[in-house]
Amino acid sequence: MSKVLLVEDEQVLSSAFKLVLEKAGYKVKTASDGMQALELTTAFKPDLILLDLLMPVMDGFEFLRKFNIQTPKSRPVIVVLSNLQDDKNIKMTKDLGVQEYIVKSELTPSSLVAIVRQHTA
Amino acid sequence: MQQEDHYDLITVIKQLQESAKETVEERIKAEALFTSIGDGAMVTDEKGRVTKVNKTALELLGFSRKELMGKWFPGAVVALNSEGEPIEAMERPLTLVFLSGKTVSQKARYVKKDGGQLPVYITVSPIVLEDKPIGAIEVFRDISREDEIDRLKSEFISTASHQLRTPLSAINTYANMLSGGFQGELTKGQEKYLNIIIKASARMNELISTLLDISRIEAGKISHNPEKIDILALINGIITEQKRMAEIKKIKITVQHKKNLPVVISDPLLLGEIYSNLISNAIKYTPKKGRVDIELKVSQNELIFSVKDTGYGIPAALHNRIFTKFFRAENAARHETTGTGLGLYLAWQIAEVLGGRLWFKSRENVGSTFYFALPIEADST
Repeated sequence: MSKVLLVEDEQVLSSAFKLVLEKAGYKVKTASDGMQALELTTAFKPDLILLDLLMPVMDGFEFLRKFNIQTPKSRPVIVVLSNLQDDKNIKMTKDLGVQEYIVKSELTPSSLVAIVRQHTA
Repeated sequence: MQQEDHYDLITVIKQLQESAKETVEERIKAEALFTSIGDGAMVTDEKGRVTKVNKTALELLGFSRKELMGKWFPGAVVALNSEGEPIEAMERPLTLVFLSGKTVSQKARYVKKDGGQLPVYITVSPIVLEDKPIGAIEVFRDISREDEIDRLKSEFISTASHQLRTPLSAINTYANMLSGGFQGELTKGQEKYLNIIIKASARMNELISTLLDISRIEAGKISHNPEKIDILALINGIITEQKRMAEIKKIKITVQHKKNLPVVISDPLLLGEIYSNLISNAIKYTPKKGRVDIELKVSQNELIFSVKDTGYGIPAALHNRIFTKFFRAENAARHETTGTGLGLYLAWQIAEVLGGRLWFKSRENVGSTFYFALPIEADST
C-alpha cells in the first residue's frame, strides 16, 4: 500500500483529500505545516508528498529547502497542490525538486486519485 | 554695372540675409524645442553615436553631456529586459531601427550612472534625408510610476485570486465528493442541483485563471516558450475538450486543411489558448444544430487558422469593441449568459505576444469567422 503525506493547513480540504485517498486504497498521514511535515517524512517515510505552499509556521518553500538538505537520497515524489499560480512560484518549486504543480481549486476527487496513482505506480 | 543690376543684387543680398536669419531662428527654435521635451531625448548619427542629448535625458540617466556625446549609445547605457537581463545590442531599438528603417518602441530598464535602474518606454525613429538614413532620434519616458501601479495591480490580482480560490477548492471538492457518492446515493434532483454547483465553481475557476492570465500578460510576465508544434494534434485536442458542449447543442464541427501542414514553432500553451478561445466562442454563440467550420491555410509566411460559425453574429456597430476588456455584445449575452467578456481580449493580447494577427468578419444573425495568422518560417513546409 503506497503511503501519501498530505501537507495542508486548511482542515476542510485536508480531511476531504484524506478521505478520498484512503477510499482509493492509500495510507495517508496529514501535516498542517512544513515543520510537522519534516518530522513526519522521517517517521512515516511517504512514497509521495502532496504539498501546499502557503502555510503557517513553515511554508512549502521553506519545507522544500530543508527537506532537500535532510533527505538527499531515495526521496519521495513531491507534488505541489496550491492555489498560487504564477510562473515565478512554479519555477521556484520545480527548481526545488517538485515533480508536478497542480492548481488546487481545479482538482476533483477523481483527478486527485489519478495524480497520486500516476506518481506512485 | 548698371543701376538696375545693382538694385537687384542688393535685393538678393537682403533676401539671403533674411533667409539666413530665418534659418538661424529656426535652428534656435528647433534646439529649444528639443531641449524642452519633457521626456529624455537624443539624436544619433547613422552609426548610433550620440550627437545631441537633452537635459531631461541627462537628468534621468545621471550622465553628463560629455560622457554620452560621441559615444555609441547601446554601449554607453546598458538596457535590461523585464527579467533583469541585459538586452543584446542587436535587440536594442536603436539597432532595430537601423536594420528595419521603421520606428521601434520597447519597454526596458536603463541602468543609470549610479547603478540604479530606470523603467522607460523607448521610441526610436530613423532620420531620413533624401531617402538615406542619416541617424535616429530616440525619446524615452520615465515609466516608474506606471510600473509601480502595474506591480501593485498584479500583486493584488495574484493575492485576490489565491484568496478566492481557497473557498472555491472546498466547494469544488465537497460538491464532487457528494456527486461521487461519498455520502450515499443521490436522488435525481440532488444530482441536478449538485451539477449546477460543480459547473458554477468550474466557471468561477476559469474566470480567476483568465484574470490571472490577463494580469500576467499585461505586466509582460507571460513566459513564451516556443517549440515545434503538431498543429493538427493541438486543434484536435481542443475539439475533444469541447466536444461535449457541441454534442449537447447538436453542432457539427469540421476541420479542413491541406495535406502537408508546415512545421510550426510557437508556444503551444499560448497558441492553444487562442485556438481554444475562438473555437469555444464559435460553439457557445451558435444556436442549436448549427455548424462550426475550422480551416487551416498557408498564405505567404503565415499559417492562417479560421473558425466560421452559423451563430448570432456581431452587430456592425459593435465590431470595433469586440477585443476590448469585459465587452460582450448584447445579442450574444442574451442567448449565452455565461461569458466573461475576457476571452477575446486575452486572445488579442496573446496574439501580440506571438507576433500574430487576429481579426474577424461577422454579420448579425448570419454568423462570424474569426482568423488568426501566425508567422511561420518561409521554408518550413
